[in-house]
Amino acid sequence: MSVPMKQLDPYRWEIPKSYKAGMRVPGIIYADERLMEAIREDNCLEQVANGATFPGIVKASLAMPDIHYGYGLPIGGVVATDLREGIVSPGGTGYDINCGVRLLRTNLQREDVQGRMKDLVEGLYREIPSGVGSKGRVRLSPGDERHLLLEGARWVVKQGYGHPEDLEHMEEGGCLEAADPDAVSSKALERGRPQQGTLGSGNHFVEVQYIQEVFDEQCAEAFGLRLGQVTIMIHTGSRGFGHQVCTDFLVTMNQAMAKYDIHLPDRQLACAPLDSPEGRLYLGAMRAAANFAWANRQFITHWVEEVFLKSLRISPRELAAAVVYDVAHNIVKIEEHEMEGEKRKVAVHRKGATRAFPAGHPDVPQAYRAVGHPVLIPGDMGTNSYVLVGTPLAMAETFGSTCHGAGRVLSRHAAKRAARGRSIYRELEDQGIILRATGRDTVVEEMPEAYKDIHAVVDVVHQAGISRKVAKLRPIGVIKG
Amino acid sequence: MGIVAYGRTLPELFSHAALGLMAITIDPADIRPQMEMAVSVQGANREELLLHWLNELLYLLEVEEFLGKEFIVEELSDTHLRAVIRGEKRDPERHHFRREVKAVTYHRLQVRARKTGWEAQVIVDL
Repeated sequence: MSVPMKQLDPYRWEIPKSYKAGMRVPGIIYADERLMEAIREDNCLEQVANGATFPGIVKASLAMPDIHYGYGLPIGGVVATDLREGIVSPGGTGYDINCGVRLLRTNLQREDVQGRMKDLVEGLYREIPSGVGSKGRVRLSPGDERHLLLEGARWVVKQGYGHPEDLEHMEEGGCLEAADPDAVSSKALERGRPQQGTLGSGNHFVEVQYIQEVFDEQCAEAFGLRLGQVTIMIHTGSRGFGHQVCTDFLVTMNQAMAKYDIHLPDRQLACAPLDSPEGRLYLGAMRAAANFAWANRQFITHWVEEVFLKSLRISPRELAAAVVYDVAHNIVKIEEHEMEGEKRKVAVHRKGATRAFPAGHPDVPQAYRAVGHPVLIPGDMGTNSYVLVGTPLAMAETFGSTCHGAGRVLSRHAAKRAARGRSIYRELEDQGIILRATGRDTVVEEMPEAYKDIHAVVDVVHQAGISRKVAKLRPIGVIKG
Repeated sequence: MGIVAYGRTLPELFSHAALGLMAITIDPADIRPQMEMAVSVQGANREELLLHWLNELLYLLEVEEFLGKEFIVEELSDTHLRAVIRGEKRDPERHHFRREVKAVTYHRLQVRARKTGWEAQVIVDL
């Protein structure tokens, strides 16, 4: 069945509240006509409408242009719920809690690494554990793990990995307050411990890139970015720890639904009131998982820096590696937003969506306060990634949120079929991209054409005004799990 | 990605679903049934029981590095399952994973009776 939609302008579409019984607000999708064609085909619009049935949802069930079919809420969905009357939903956050992206800048130019990329990629592949079942290089005791869950990247820096100033350039400073390790099951703790400091597999990666184009000189300068500069992007999350937290709380929430008399069209949306024991426990466990992910990206950052120093035989001063920013794109956060002239606290669920706060916002680090914080959008491994910046319009329309990536367009099965008889490694190498991957099937399942056109996705959020393009990054080396 | 499993009986269905999950991760032909693990799981109903059973396999894979090949369901009710799994510990030299399963989801989760037995549908998050 096709979902009725009203096109509001070239980049905004509305699913009317009247479409489905139980919808409390309309659905709003950011897309142009071409992206909308693909979106219509994969049933995710029904999921946008389902999201609108959450008790306490405010304004609209939002979807970004990279939206695709997920479990419960679509990937690319943003839902904000009222703190007093609203719910919190693990399925509205996603399995990989605080899956996110970090960007490092260096003092190197593209020419400095030319002819060295094979060594660099080999080094990264060797030093950063990746792939299924890989174990981290760090040995955490249960006591260490508890500290890490409470303090996130801060704890990792205290152990000597990375630099204290890294923490100033991360969403939440790399640590969500009020994490509750006691709300986490022993299974999650056990799954997490050996996986701290690992990349994982699937769409996760470490990528060496260079800045191919700068769109906004002022912002780029504020972010310390310039044309031709070498950057490194890290995309990973909370590994088995976060997956287990989500799994555990889906069970809890499914039981709580009857208790709180909540009825929703999809079990995967299971939720509980924010103001309930189940809701509070989930928030505590989710924050611990978010901190696990920030810690994970911090360990990996340190090893990336080590590989560059060793492989290029340069000093830390010559490399001058620094964190540009670190964003979470699967998370629920309690934030204050203005609605109809009134400030309200809401729980913003960003499931495959990135925070995009503008200039002047108190949560934007001091160094970026004049321009807004960087928004990091990873593309597929053969195309481009982007740095964007938050805008006031995002605050007004999307709870300060924007897209998170390209979004799949081919199923894994279809990708495999399309890759038959081809060498994706060679195709990438012909384009100047060196790839190393562990998983036999990862490479074909993750091939560039399995993803939407990243340029089209980014153009929509730019044209719609919910973030602005700052720079375009081009991959030259990729490691994948 | 998902699994559609069939079984003449419910225990066979649960056993086949487990094999399906392993096959998403690794080629079962590479696993030798040389040690045993005993597993016991609970669930609120048949579908949730299936979900917990499959999640238990992910846990064994990640924490114990145990790869299952034969799944002998010894006791099964709507809310409880007891099984013995034959398989082996992961050997990085011999075992090459296909992909990582993050979680088994509630999405379109279904266990239903058919004319000739049982059918289950499970979607996994990769």
